[in-house]
Amino acid sequence: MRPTVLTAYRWELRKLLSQKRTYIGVGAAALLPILFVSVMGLQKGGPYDAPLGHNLRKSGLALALVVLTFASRFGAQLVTALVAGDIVASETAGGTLKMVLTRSLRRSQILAGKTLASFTYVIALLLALLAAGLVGGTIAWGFHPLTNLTGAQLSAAHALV
Amino acid sequence: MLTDPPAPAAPLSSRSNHEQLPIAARGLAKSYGRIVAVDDVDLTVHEGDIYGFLGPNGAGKTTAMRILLGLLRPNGGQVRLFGRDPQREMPEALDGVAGFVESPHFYPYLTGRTNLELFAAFDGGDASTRVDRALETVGLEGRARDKVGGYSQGMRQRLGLAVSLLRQPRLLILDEPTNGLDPGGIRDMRDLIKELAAEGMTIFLSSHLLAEVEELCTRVAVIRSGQIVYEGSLAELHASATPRYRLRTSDQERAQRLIGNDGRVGELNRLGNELVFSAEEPVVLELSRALAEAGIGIAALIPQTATLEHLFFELTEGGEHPHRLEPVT
Repeated sequence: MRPTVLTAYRWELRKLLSQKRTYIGVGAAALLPILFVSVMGLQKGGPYDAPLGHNLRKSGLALALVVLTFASRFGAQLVTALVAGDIVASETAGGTLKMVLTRSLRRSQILAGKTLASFTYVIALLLALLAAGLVGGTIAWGFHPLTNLTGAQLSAAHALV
Repeated sequence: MLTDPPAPAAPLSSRSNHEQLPIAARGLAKSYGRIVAVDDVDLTVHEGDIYGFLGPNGAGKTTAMRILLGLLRPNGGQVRLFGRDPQREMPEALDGVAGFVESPHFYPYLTGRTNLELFAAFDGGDASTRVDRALETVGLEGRARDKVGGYSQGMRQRLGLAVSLLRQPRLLILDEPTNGLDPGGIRDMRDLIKELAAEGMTIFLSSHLLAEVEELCTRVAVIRSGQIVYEGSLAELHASATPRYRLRTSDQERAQRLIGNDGRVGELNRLGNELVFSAEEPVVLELSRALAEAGIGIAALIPQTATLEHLFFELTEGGEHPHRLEPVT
């Protein structure tokens, strides 16, 4: 039986899980909302021009959304490009690419596996961001009802979803 | 040059003619800008050969091997591995083929064993079931749980062989397999290569070490500045050399002048108190008479069996200045 894209994907994930820098990346993503909270705590102002910016101090749940909005504006694309670039470039630099290319996988399968793994990792980073934002926000400003962009009140439990 | 350059062979258009050949390469060419790395290289490897690809560093060995493995696109020429084209039919063309170019590389943050499992997964089939045996074969079972980052060059070389064996190849392509090994490791590696060949595996290995090729190989190709200067059996290579003679006389100065004036004498050097020259036997007979007529006494005239090392220098440096580093161009 010939290997498939799934084979490539599984091993790309396993490689990611075996590297220290993968966890450093996740840690950094989780640290971002914490930093945000700390800065907000030190000063009175806030990103009031950002969507939901006004709600930051009213409900901890808003933080995660605000941080995600910022991430989608400035961070995520850059991080995706970095991760995707590195996952290929590191193989060339390490000399392992020519080892991989002389096995029984098609080049397209190798690349597809790497693309999927890159996206998986970026999604994991964003989830870490979201989780840390929810936890950090809730600790700082409480688990309160959230006013969404259309002005409707959402209960805290509903907003979490 | 000992042999005429090989006549351009017919293109490899028909597959059936070359179906049986592990490697058939014709007219391979690759240049990087003005630098010609490989120039019109033909290679023919038969089933069961231990084929030595011999040449000094930078002669184009690795470039040619990259083309063989489909890692590099040549500017011209064709390759067939068991009848399949590695430039077009990938990865099928590498079915039954395994090997590496330059030194083997692995993921340093994974253990030796996990690295093997990864490549076995990329091979598909039942390659994963051969991981343990491959580790044992190369004597790495004791270090399999350590990360490759901590491996020595020699251990990586062993792991490189193990990762190739996972594919159960009929053709094994190895680039300087004893590179970085200590003397014990070199002996083990050579023994292993002989064993694999005895089991029926065809082996193509590159080397810049003559002793290695002389010990292991049945057929050789010698490459110099990107061109094949000899391809054939080692025995024929030995036979094709111009015989060399050692000479001691009563007057070495005059003898040297007398021999040096004969245009049929290939090479003439003074080594200690002896003259060493190469010439065909009839020429040597004439010379011995001429020496006697000139009143020079001959104390010793001894034919030398040509060493492969000498042949190698003759082939790769045109026989001139064997003690000079060739300028890098």
